[in-house]
Amino acid sequence: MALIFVGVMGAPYESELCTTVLRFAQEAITRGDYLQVWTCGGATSLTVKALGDTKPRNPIEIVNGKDDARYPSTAALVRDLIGSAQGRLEWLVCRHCMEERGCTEQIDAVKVQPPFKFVQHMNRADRSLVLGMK
Amino acid sequence: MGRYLMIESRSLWEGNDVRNFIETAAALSDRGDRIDLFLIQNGVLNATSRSEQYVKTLLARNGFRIWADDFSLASRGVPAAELVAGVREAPIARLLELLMTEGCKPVWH
Repeated sequence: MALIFVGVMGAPYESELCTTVLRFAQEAITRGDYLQVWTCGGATSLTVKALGDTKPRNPIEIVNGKDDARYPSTAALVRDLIGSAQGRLEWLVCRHCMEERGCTEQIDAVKVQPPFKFVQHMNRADRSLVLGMK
Repeated sequence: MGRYLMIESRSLWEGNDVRNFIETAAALSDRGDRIDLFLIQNGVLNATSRSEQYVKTLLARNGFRIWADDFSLASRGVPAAELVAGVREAPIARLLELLMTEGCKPVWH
């Protein structure tokens, strides 16, 4: 059982980075590791309250008769992942990046942190990895 | 002798820096380090038959392993059979195993 620190940088939907992070987090939890995910830059928007629980409805699915189709928002996915992790997942949001992007209303399940804590958390971990530098 | 986990998320066709990253992995291997090149997201496209000769020169190096994320392959409709021989299809669990290997230095690109 190890403590893993993952820094995530990059806005959602520019690539599959968000999907990779969620897959990584789920696997780490399944393995029994402790995981800290630190979101920087555009990634701070993954967990804003305004996203609600579901993504906007897809008009094409409505046209195709799939009126009941609902897909979870990234905020809901992160909240549920934290809930299922039994205390082994911390989702951290960089305050500076969050404020710079107007993403200040974060879901209750995440923890807002001052930027200097990034290095502290990284140094404490057994292994650190930063995803999405570009 | 060091050990590196080099994670490439983009394809060679997205920019010269992708080749530069893989060449860095090759250079580390040439000086005796062990390299695990984990391809994920668009990075899996670097290990198909279109890049066969290039990939083979990498695999020919001692201690150089190439992995291709199974979810990324499936998302792109690339069957494992299209991977260059020697490239290993791997689940995300493998990425974590490699990450937690003693002495591993991970780098994401």
